[in-house]
Amino acid sequence: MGTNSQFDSPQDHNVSHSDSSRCIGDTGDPPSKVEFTNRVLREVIEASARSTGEDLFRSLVKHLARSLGFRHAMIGRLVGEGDRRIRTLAIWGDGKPVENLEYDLRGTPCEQVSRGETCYHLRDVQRKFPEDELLVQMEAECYIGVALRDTMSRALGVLAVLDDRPAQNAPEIRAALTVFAERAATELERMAADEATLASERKYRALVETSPYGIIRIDSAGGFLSVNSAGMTIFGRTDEHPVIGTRFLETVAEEDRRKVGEELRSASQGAAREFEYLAINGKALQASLVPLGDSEAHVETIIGIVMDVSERRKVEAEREALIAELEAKNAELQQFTDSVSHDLKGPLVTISGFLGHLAKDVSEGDQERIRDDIRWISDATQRMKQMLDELLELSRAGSVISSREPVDLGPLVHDLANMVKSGDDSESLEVVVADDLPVVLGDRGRLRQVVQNLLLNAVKFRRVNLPCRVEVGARSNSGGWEVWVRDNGVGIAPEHHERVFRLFEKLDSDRSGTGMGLAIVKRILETHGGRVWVESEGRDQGSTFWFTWPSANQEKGAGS
Amino acid sequence: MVVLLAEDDPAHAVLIERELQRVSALECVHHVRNGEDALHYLNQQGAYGDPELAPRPHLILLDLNMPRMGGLELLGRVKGDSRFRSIPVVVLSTSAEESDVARCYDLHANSYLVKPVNATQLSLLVHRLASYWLHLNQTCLPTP
Repeated sequence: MGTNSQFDSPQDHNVSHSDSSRCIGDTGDPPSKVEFTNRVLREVIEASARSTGEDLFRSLVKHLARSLGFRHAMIGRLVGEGDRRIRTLAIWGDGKPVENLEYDLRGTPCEQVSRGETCYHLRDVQRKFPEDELLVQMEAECYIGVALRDTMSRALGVLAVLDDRPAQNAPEIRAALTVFAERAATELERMAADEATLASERKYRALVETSPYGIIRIDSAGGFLSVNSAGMTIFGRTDEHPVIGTRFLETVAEEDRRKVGEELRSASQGAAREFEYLAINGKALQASLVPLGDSEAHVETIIGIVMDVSERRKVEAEREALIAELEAKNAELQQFTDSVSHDLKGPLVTISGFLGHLAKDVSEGDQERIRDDIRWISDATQRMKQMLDELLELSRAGSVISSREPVDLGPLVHDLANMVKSGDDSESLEVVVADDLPVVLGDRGRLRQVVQNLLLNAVKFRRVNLPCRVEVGARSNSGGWEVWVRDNGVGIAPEHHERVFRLFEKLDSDRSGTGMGLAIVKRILETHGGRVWVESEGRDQGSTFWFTWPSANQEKGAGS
Repeated sequence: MVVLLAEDDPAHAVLIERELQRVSALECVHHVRNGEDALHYLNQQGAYGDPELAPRPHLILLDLNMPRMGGLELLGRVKGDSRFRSIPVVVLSTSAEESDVARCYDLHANSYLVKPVNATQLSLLVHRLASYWLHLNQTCLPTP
């Protein structure tokens, strides 16, 4: 701490000792000087006893003025941009405290002091600083100012005494001013440090409070010490139901308590931890714990950052599901193209094979074989055409024929039943349609195609020498309607129940067709949010084909 | 020599039979249209109850895609049965799909051939396979 003493070269040398009776600072003979010094020290001690801050400054100026016999004493700190102004911390004038004020340093004796010099204007100070109105108000004749500096020698403020009499440059006064200035500078530095600490604390508090992450402090036993507002939101707590006083583990879902308990134990033993867990309120949380203490073995508190990752996890799960669905679709598509290419190759093998025979048979003139070869070739081309037609139909099955509308199943099924009966040459075909068929909402064209394919399928797989009987009915379920088409035909062994819906799958190669009808039914239902399956006890036990369709007042699942 | 031909496509069956009939030392080709019938033949059951009419084949030619019981299931049954295991099974399929080939060898098929879309090649293929499996290859009866 320095006051940059200029006592050896005071600015004002022409202090006359002749008029010492009218001067202040004349402390008289040596014994009096000792007494004076003692008194000043007592005053400083008294002034600084049990007080800090502004109280201390007020006390200092009072004791300063009193002990040195000056009318005015003041302590001020440098403020403003470039420290161009003084804001007083305490002023003593004419035996009483004076209200604080702020003034510009320019043109005042304090300006020099603020640069770190100690200034003595023992007389005529007003004349030297004609612009300084304060000097006029104080009727100042003399001015002595000392700079207040911190431990790094940076100027913090000034301490000054003024009087309407000229002053004497006495060493006792210099010493006294130095002592008072030292005390004031120490206090000023302490205050500045306090303010800096406070400001820093405010800054970090604001950071913590405005953080979107939960910031928590827990003791080494896992009890909450503090939680910021984001943390309160994450834990679903309010001021009425605070977390303080509860334990961290109480916010953890039952199934994760053991795991989190181990993480906490680890952190309390000095290890930084990062982990995810499920909170008791169902949120997926991610926590980072950092132990704080004087050593790893002695952790006092644990600082934690808690993030709500529920949304992120949900999005990830949805993405996974979407990827899985896409992969399944891709596999299905792959299987489809494989199947199509193999099955279309069948007729090609036939055509090319019999063309080879045909060439030979023609050259040998074998008429019967020629006719035979041509028949095989013709059948294969017909089959290929039919497969291509039905492939096209299948690819269209996913699209819409007509817009969604209420469709009365009763008339639709009756119409199709008549069509199937008229196309059947056998007298022994009976189609029984339940009279309580519902009105459903959907694509009339596709719905018609589904029922038609199921009816045709039932008739095609009839048993030989048995009158064919087909029943159509429906029952409601939670999502809409379940429609059935039941026959007394050849039946399907349970192990083939899935297979019948696959592309080009035929359970009986003796029957005509390409094995595409049920694949088309399945495709249509999948596109319309429905499902198809078959129930059959097995060979010659008949089959019941079921499909689901949303009811008329059921908006959901009837998309196209 | 007796060949059991399991093939659901009648045209393919005719093509293969016509080629086989030109192979010497062939007594007969028995054609079945699905795996189930093939098993009945091997076990001499049902329509094949007369052992005279269903002699043990020296070679089984197998199509993969057949109704009721497919080629793969039949292959599994044949190779899983100690009585029939030693009969060579040659798969004849339109599929050149690697997964199909792998599945067949997993089930211990003896050979896998793709049906060519070319008359000359088809003829050549059948001749070659017959001469290899029926003439060059040594088979044995099951050890009792």
